[in-house]
Order: sequence, then structure tokens, then C-alpha cells
Amino acid sequence: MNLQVVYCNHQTAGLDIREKLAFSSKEQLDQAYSVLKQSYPDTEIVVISTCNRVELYTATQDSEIGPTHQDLARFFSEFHQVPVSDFFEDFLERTGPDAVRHLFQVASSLDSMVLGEPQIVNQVKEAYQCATDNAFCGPLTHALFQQAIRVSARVRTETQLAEGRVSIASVAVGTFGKGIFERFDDKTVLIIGAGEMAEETLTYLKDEGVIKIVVVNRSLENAQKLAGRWGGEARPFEDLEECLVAADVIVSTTGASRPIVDIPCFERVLEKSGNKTFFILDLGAPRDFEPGVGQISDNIFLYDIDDLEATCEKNRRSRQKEVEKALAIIDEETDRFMHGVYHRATGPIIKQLREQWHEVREQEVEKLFSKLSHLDEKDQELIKRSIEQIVNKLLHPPLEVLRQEAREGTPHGLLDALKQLFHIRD
Amino acid sequence: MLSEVTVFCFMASYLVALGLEVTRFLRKKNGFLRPLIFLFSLAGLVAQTAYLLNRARTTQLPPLLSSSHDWLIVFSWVLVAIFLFINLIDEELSIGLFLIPLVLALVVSSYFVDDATNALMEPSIRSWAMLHASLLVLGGVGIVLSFVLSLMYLIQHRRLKQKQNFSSGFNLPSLAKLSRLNRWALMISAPLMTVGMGIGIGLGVYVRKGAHAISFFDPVIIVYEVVWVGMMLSVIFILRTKQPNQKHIAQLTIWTGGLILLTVIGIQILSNVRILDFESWHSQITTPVIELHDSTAERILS
Repeated sequence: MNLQVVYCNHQTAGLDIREKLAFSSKEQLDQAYSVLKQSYPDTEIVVISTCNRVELYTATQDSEIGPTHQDLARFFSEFHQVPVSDFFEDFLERTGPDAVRHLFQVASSLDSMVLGEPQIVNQVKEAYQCATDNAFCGPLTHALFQQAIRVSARVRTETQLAEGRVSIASVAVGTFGKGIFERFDDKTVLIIGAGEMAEETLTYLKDEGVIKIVVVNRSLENAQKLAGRWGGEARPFEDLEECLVAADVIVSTTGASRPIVDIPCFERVLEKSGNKTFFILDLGAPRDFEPGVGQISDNIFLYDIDDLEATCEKNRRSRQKEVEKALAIIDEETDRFMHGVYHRATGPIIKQLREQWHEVREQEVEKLFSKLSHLDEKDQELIKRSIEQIVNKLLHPPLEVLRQEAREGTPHGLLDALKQLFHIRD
Repeated sequence: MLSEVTVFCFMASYLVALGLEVTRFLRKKNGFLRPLIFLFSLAGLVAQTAYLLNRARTTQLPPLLSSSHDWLIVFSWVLVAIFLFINLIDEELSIGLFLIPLVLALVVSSYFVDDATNALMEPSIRSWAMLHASLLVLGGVGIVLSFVLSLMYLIQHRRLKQKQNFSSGFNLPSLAKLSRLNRWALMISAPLMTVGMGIGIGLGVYVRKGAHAISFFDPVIIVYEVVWVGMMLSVIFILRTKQPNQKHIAQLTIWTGGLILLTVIGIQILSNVRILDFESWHSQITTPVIELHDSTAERILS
């Protein structure tokens, strides 16, 4: 059996290479599968293609028929019209247990850009499903990917690798916002500026049920664009103070060089809004809110990018501590999987050898009994047992050696020798 | 079998549960700790129920009426039942760290208060006395919950203001939820306490006409009345404020609730009297009373 993976990911290649090699749509992936099917009909293949990685897993019963590293590089080159020389250095290969370990690490998000992120296991599941739909999965890839999904669940349960949020927007909403408000569907969200970070934060706020969104920007056109995308309302920058009074959650990401909301401004807002609770995310650099705004009242919770980044970093560090624990689980699971694979490889040979020898035994015993017709049933039984034991004892040493060798890997040489010596056919 | 259950049995269970809660807090993620905490608390509750049943059988009175000791045990029993219920509906909430110490404090306090049977319970007023004691227990439970919720509010508020991230073993609800629950706890406990106090006064007037007169100028009664007035003023202030500063409300609740609990339990410990023992509330007893058992108070006096 031959198992290999060729891949390039965020650790080995830049985005420019990864986006050239990626399969950006399901149609493109299906097309790739059909090309691969023509070239390697007897090979099991699974392709994982995300924004951070492109990986192609292959498995064959016979090591001679599967595609090599170079073959697959050529396939990528021809399919995407990219010269091999542009990416071959970043296009790595792993085989056997290393390939298994690599997939387990990927599925457990140890290989992800954000350690412990939960999306990757779904992407692995989708890739496996897609390969199954294209009839590219066989016994080995079925076992491998199902095991990878189980390993991912085990790592998640037995370690704290996925504990704590590690992106600015998720920390802002999940850790702090949800600590302040019980629900978000009755809250007004004010977006000041139209930065990328505001959009990312809006994604999380929308997930929490936010309905009313107001966008204020110096360029009303940009405000309208952003508001249009999120079903919100665009307001001119002059209405900022009025919008602040009505808001519960304020996300600010302007490119202003000086704070746009100072203490006197927010004191006026507070006067008009009463003792309302404000959750302010100042994601601008330099800051959009004067830091003292957070001290005006007990009900103002102001967070700037450094506050949020500090929490992210703390969570990242605590996740890092769990990596060793996760790697130990993956090593253990890789060994278990490989033992299963090797056992599967030697199993049929052992079975055939046993059957063959016992067939010969039965034939010879029959012949013997026809010649010695005076033997009663008891004697016949004794002779049968005795010959069976002889066969078993003779079979034991070669089979034991085969099992021992299988613990280290598929013993191709030994299996071939056994096949030739005892005329065992595949 | 029931008679073998002692206060120590369930106190030990709650101590173990508290130890496990602290471990969960320190060691962050430990999936097996939560069921253990639940099991130990449940075991404690079962033992406590057996203890109360045994007490009721011995004294021939419901635990709420028999003695101050039993009253406090019932009080802590209700809190444990609430803790188990909350544990079932929200397994991540770290309420045990707040509630179990209070349960233990009540159980320990019960050791120092009078456990002698109330000899003066006239059958004609028993149902009113039962209602009086029940309302006071339920009102007290409301105050304890309000106290705990306020404490959680202040910790959560501090965390959010200091921009800290709690560990995974310590989960608190949002500020909005805590203040909402606190408001409800106060709104429920204040009328319960008020009606309970009202029935108590009615009972006092009734008893005054009978053989065992009590005085409303007894220092113990005056302290209770002052505490109740303080609580009512706080509740009215909290409920009437249109846009209250929730942090100030939490602080006020902690002070008021803490003062009420300390006063009610402290007075019982200091004077070693029984809540429904009108004899100990009096200043002029006209008729001698017969005690069923030697009370701790009597032992001390002698």
C-alpha cells in the first residue's frame, strides 16, 4: 500500500502561489477530479483546497501504479497553466505515516494559521465528501479521512486547543460584548468609518442577531455602500453625535489622525442618553475615541485595538501550551492507524497461506483414511488433530515474522517472497 | 437509619463540592469535575433531607417551626436545591463558587443556634406560623440570590472595565442578565419578607392577648424591624430609579443583603434564641412555660 500527500500551504508558500494552485470552485474541483481519473484510474484521491492550503492525498494498493510527486506537480502545472518551476520548491511531499500524521494535524487545526480554529475540520469533511461523490475514495482514504475527523474531535475534547477566541472581532463580540449585553437583536450598532475590521466585526454581530445598523462616514457614498451590504442605514458625518446618542454598540474604524470623539463630546451624548450602557470598539489606529471616554461612566465599556489584541495574544499563548498534548494524541492515533493499515496489507496473504496449507492437509488426510479403512472414528480424529497441529506449527514462524515486520511498515519484500514461494495469487 | 445522618454528613458533602468547584476554577477545563460537583451536592441534599425528616419525626413539628437550627437547615436546603437546578440548566455557570460557601455558612451557623424544640407552638396558630416561617425563608433565599447576583455583577463589571478575559473554568452571565435577575430577585423577596413580617406581627398581637405575651419593643424585634425598613427603602430606591447605575445598585444590594443576612443569623447566634420562640422575644412573661427539652439558651443561662 502506498499513501502520499503533496501540498503547499500558508507555511510553505505565499498567497500568490497558493491562489494560483487553488481550486476556487466546486466545478473546477470536479473538473480536476475528472482529469485525474483519466490519468490515474486505480488511485484513490482526495483534494483539500482552502484559502490557506492546497493538498492532494493519493493512495494505491500497489506502490508502482500511483502518481509520483513529479507527476502531481505536472498535473497542477497543466491544470492551472503555471510553470512547475514557479511552485515546485514550495510543493512538498509526505508519504506513509508522515502523510497520515500531516492530515491528522491539518484536521485538528494544528497546521492552521489560527491555531485551534474550528472551520478546518469542516473543510476536511467537505473535501472528503466531494472525493466520495466523485467516486475517488477507496478503502484506504475512507479509513484515513474518517479517522482524521475522529482525531480532530478527540484533540478538541482532550485539549484546550480551541479554548479562547483569537481574532480581534471575535474577542470583541464574543468575549466582551456578550459579557455586557444579554441579547443584541434589540441593540443599535453604529459603524463609524468603513474599514475592513468593521465589516468583520459586523459578521459576528449579525451572528448574534443584530438588526439595526447605522453607518456614519465622511464619504456618504462609502457609508451607503457598506450600509447596503449589511441592510443598514447610512447617515452623514455631521449626524455623528445624534447617532452616538441612539447607539448601544459603537464600532469605529476611521483613518482619522486625531480622535473624532473626545470627552466633552461624549459627556454631551451621555447627558442626552441617560445612564445607558455603551459598548465601544475603537478599532482605529490612531484611536478614534479619546481614551478618557471610558472613564466618564461605569456604563461605558471602551476597548481599543491594543486591548483586544492583548486578549487575543493571551489566548494564543494558552493554545500554544496545548500543542504538545495535541501532538502526542496525533502520534498515538497515527501509530494506531498505520498498524491497522499494515495489518490490512498482510491479512489477505496470511489468510490465503493458511487456507492453502489446510487444503493440502485435508486432501492428504482424506487419502490416508481411504487407505487405512480399519481406523475407527476416534483414531481418525486423533490423526486429523495431529496433522493440523503440525501444519499450524510449521506456519507459525513465517507468519510471526510477517506480523513483526508489519509493525514497522508494509513488508512488501516479504509479501512478494511468500507469494512466490507458496504460489499465492492476488 | 435516618437517625444516623448528622449535620456533618451533608456539610462534608458540600465541602467536597466546594473543593471541586475551586479545582475547576483553578484547573480551568476538567470535564469530569462538573458531574462530580453535582453528585456531591446531590448527596449532600439527600443527607440533609434525611436529617430534616428525622428532626421532624423527633420534634413532631415541621422543621420550619421546630427550632432556629432547623429553620437554618431548611434555608440552606432550599439554596442547595436551587444550586442543583441552576447546574442542570447551565452547566458552565460558576454559581457554585458563590452559593456553596453561603450554604456552608448557614449550616455552620445552625450549629451555634438553638436546636431545642419550640414548646410554645399553639396548634391554633400553627398554620399561620408555618406561613410566616416559610415566607421568611423564601424571602431570605431571594436576598441570598440577590446578594450572589450582585457579587457576580461586580466581578463581571470589573473584568470588563479592566479588559480582562476570564479563564474557561469561570463563566459569569452578562451584566444585563445579572441586573435583570437581581431586579427580579429583589421584587420577589421584598413582598415575601414584608408579608412574612406582617404575619409575624399579627401573630405577636394574637399571642399578646393570650398567655404568652411578647413586646414589640424587644431589642431583637426592633433590630428585625429596622433591617426590614432598610431593605424596603433600598428596594423602593432600586425599583423607582428610571435609569439606574447598575453598579451602584449591585453595591447597594450587597450591603443591604449582607447586612440583613448577618443581622438575622448573627442575632440568633448571639442571643441563641429561636425565631418562632415567642418566649425569647418577650420582656414580660406572665405565665411560666414548660420546655419540652433543655434548650441551649437554658444551658447557657444556667
